[in-house]
Amino acid sequence: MIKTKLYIYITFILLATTSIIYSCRKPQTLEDIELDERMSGGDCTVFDESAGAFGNVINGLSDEDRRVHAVGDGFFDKTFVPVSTTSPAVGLGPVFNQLSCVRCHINEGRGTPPLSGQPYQSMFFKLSLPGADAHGAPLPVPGYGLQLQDKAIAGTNPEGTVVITYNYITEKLADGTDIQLRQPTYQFANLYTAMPADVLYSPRIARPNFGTGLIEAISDESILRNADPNDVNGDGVSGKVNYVYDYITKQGNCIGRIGWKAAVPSIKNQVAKALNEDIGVTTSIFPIEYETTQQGGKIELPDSIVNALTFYMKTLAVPARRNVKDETVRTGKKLFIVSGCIKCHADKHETATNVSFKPLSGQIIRPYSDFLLHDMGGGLADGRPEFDASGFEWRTPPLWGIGLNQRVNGNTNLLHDGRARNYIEAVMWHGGEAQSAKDNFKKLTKAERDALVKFLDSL
Amino acid sequence: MKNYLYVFVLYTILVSVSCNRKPEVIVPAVNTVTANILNDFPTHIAVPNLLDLLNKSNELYNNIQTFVTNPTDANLYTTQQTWYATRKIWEQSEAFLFGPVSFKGLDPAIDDWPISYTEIDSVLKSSNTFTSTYIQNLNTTLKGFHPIEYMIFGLGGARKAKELTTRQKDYLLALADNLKTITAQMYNEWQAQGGNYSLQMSSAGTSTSVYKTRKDALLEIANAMIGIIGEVGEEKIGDPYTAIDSMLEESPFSGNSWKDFAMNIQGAKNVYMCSYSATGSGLHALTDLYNKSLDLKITQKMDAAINNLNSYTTKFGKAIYNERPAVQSAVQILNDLKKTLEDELIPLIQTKVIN
Repeated sequence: MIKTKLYIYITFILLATTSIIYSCRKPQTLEDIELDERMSGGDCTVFDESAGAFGNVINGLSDEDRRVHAVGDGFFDKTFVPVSTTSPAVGLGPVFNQLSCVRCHINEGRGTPPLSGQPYQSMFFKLSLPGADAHGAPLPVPGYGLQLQDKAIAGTNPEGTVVITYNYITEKLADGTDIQLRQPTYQFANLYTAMPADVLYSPRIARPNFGTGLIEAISDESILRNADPNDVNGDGVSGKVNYVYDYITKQGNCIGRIGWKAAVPSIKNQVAKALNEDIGVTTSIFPIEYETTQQGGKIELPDSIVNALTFYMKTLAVPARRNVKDETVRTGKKLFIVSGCIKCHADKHETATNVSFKPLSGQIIRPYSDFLLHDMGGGLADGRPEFDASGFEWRTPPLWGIGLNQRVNGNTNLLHDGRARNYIEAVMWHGGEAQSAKDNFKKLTKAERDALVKFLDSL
Repeated sequence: MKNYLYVFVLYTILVSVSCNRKPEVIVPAVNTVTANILNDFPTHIAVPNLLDLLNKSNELYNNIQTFVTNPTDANLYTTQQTWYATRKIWEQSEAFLFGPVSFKGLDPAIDDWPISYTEIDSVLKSSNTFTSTYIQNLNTTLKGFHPIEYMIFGLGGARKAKELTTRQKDYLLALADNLKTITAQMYNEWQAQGGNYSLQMSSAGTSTSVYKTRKDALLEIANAMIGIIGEVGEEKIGDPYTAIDSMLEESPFSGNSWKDFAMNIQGAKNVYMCSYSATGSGLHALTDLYNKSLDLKITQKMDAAINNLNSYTTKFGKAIYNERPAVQSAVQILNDLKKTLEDELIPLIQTKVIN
């Protein structure tokens, strides 16, 4: 009996010792805990480095939800045809930019800008007149609306197109290295009717779709935490929310989260807007054909499909980071932080608790964006305000997945018009609030620049 | 004493299981096999298949030119047979729609559907000249294989040579010219003297390749193969079947849809076995190395799917109305094949190929 007790004591002491050895650490706050850095999208992360890396469904969906995702996926790929043709995807045009979602978001990814003088396929031009409507939205251009549709169904004239050419300029880094930058110039061509002289325009490359559900789910607090519109902390970086109008709830003052200027508050707004403006399809949300001369009122795509497309976008997983423990990558990350890039490309956010849809609820994610507006300087300015975003301001684009752009879309172009052909060119276009970070970058040695590039490649 | 030993053994086990395990020892042969697969895929599958496509597209153009010059039923019949032959090659190549064919939108530029009849009528009624630029700028639902199919087979597939107007023949010839231009671009993107995407595959795992590891490149091949199997089951068959609408059929005028589908799966098998005009080392070799029963299962399921799709005698456009259980079984066979590849082949590549 005594022996048995002794064995129990010895076993207890050995287990307790082991337990103490493994658990003897200082208590940590949530902010301090370095969770697995690969999990860019929290539980909504997928380990896929293939060309299909941006098109995976998130984990944790029910069978029913997976079916809805699949329906949305199908419509995302479907070619739309005019109403006079039989298809589940009818309503194309009469003027439009593309025949389907996937033609711009190839592999659910990024668009490609054209070579100089070549036609564009996966970008478009937003248009407006100076001023704003009652909701703060840009004013449409008579005869053109808010977007130049460069294609049309047979028998209808396209609105026109834009000829894109590039001039080349050189910037020198501190170590004497020359960086060639290409500066786009835009010229309207083949306009079907006169364009007002004071028209404002803004080129926009198609953005990747994955992770949008998480961006929509980020808690307001998580976004507002980084906002400093009056630069109270005096670090030269402000960051402000674009408060926009929601065309579904019919409410203003909503936090804009989606798009190059954060002008869209939710995925469903984005889906309906893209269907209407990019493809020419009317829905219950935007029942009028986009071109202002067209008659409207007939809903071409039912709510069930709009909802499926929305759910599809909402449930696209984020690809995991690669090589997070590589020493050079870690060095690059440190340089990313000390150079000041992290001030806008904020690494961590939390999604709001959502008991009605758990897969996106309460996730710690690493999009590398604060989703706020920043003045990026004259070099990138489009001069076209959109709600609270001025003609100098852009939303910090998330960086997750950029290391896979070459694989998914066959190019490494960045920025709203795709002018930057690689990371370094993109950094060199930074100005305004990001001038200081750019200047810090210019002082790096080649080895340090390479490390920073390797870090970005790991995202 | 014996009990002390038990306690000590228990403790040792507890501590040891909590330590990291050593990585699994790599079968040395896997490096050779993966290198062979990635060397052979471009040379045995992608390049020869796309070269055949280019050659057949040229032949189709030449035959259409002959028909336009001399519009007899015999010449029309020849164009129809060449269309079938070109289609057979194209459908096989759809099993590897990645790389520049995907990035540059070349696939929809020649194979979009459903075609837009009303717009075709509008194009024909217009006075526009059918220059190569004009055709190039047309929406994809107005060019490529299916508008050509519409012209040469007609609604119901009973086209007679005399029915075609001069305007239709001009359009047809311009479409065929555009088809051969785009298929030439596809071939050029892969061949060594052109875009040489082949090198991206064969050099996977080196710093010059877009594929940082061989595993990435193998997954690209496997996922593309799975992609076409899924598309046949879920969209090409699934959409018209679910909607009970023959207007959603891919090749409705020629009645070629079942053959299209079979050739898609044949293309997947070509990729898996690395066998087209010659045989090399395919994903089959990797599966065979680690899991012979899985390899057998995959090949048997691919053969079963191809045989099933080749067995239908009723045209697809009618079968979706009249033989629904049979069409449903085709979808199930394809879904089953896809699931096997997703659940068993992909994990095998992910776990057995380290880099």
